[in-house]
Amino acid sequence: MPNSGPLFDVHDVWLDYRRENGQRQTVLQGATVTIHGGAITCLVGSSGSGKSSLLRLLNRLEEPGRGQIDFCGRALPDLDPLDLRRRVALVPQTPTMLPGTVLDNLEAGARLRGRRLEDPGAWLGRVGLTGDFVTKQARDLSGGEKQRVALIRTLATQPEVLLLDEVTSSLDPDSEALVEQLLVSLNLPVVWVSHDADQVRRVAAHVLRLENGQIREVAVQ
Amino acid sequence: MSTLSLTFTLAFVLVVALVSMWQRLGLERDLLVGTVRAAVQLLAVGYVLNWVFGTDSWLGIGIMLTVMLAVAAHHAGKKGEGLPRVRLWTFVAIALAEVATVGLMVVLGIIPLTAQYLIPISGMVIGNAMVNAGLLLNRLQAEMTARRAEVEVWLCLGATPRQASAAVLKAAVRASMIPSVDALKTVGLVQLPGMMTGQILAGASPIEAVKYQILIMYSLAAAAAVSSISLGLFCTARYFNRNAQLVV
Repeated sequence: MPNSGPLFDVHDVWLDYRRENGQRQTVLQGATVTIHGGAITCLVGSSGSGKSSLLRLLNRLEEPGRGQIDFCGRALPDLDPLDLRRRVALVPQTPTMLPGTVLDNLEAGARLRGRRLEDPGAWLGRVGLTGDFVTKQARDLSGGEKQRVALIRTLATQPEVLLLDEVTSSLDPDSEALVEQLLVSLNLPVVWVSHDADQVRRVAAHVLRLENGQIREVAVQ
Repeated sequence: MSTLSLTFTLAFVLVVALVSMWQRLGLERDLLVGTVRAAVQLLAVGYVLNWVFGTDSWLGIGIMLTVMLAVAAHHAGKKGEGLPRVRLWTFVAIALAEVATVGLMVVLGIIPLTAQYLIPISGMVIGNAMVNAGLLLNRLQAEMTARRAEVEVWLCLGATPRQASAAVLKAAVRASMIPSVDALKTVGLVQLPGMMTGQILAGASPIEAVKYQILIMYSLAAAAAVSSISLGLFCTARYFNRNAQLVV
């Protein structure tokens, strides 16, 4: 389990991608920052500033064009990407449901590891959903329900680090508070992209701002 | 069929040309090119087959089969534009289908190992596998595009590329198999297949023609399954790099 020391060392990272109109857009330009373990770090910045891209780099769904990222002192290319993704789990911005029921979704991670998921109803209860949700078709859920199932689906894999991309954006205030309490109580290192300034104040120990392709620490609470 | 009778078949082309001119479909130029190409290609193939059948030369058979496979892979591979080495993998998949079906026929003694049997039956198998491969590639691209987020969710949960793309592959293989399965269900009821019709026209007994048609239908279904599944497996892997990232 990563301690409060350096979790991710992002060093001089550049990233650009091709937009749908064919033009290339640079989102990170020599970004350098250390993200510490043992606490919640919030990533803030305007839309398109590269927050989601940074999470994808940390999860190694993408490679930087230049620069290096270390996880717990080891360069990401030196780590097995599948092993990394099982330790460092990303919950994407869009809560895409897998085909089948809510239970199929919750068990997906466990099945990949050759395990069974114990007490799926209890997992649902942690985000305010009742046990009878397990039999519902996942794709028929509301946006907020999908968001909570997507979060629990990842938490059920018991990762060491969480990368969260606006995971409460469709939730009502009560559900949002419940999810925040859950995530704080886990005591896991979390890198959390959020547009909600109040949420950032409530949960973040560190706040990083992405601006003009650079990252800077703006607050330590 | 006499050359004069063959010439009279141009009347069918003339009907299409007249309809095209009457309805201003603008097909006349393509029709002319298509008519000339069909005649030249088929006549050329006829003379080549005549030579290969006459000599029963392994070199001739090998060249014929390789050309058939290459043309089929080139055509089907167009549907997978953007995938690395897609034509090579299509060639391998169709060749596997050919070996699995025609090879089995030869091993079981169903057909003799002569050009007269090998080439026409291979033509049907390769042609059918080509259509299947094209359908598979087409559907795989569409599924992978539509379900990209789902595939990435699997990757985020720690799935291997094969696990992440399993549902996509299954959907693409199922879709590509539909024409072959439908053909099996409706053959003889909806249409009399070309090979059977040709044999009956050539004087064979309908029962003998049906036996060969059953052989062909079953082998075409097997060829479709082998080409679809193998090409699907080869190609889904091409959507990922060695770091298990979705790259296409």
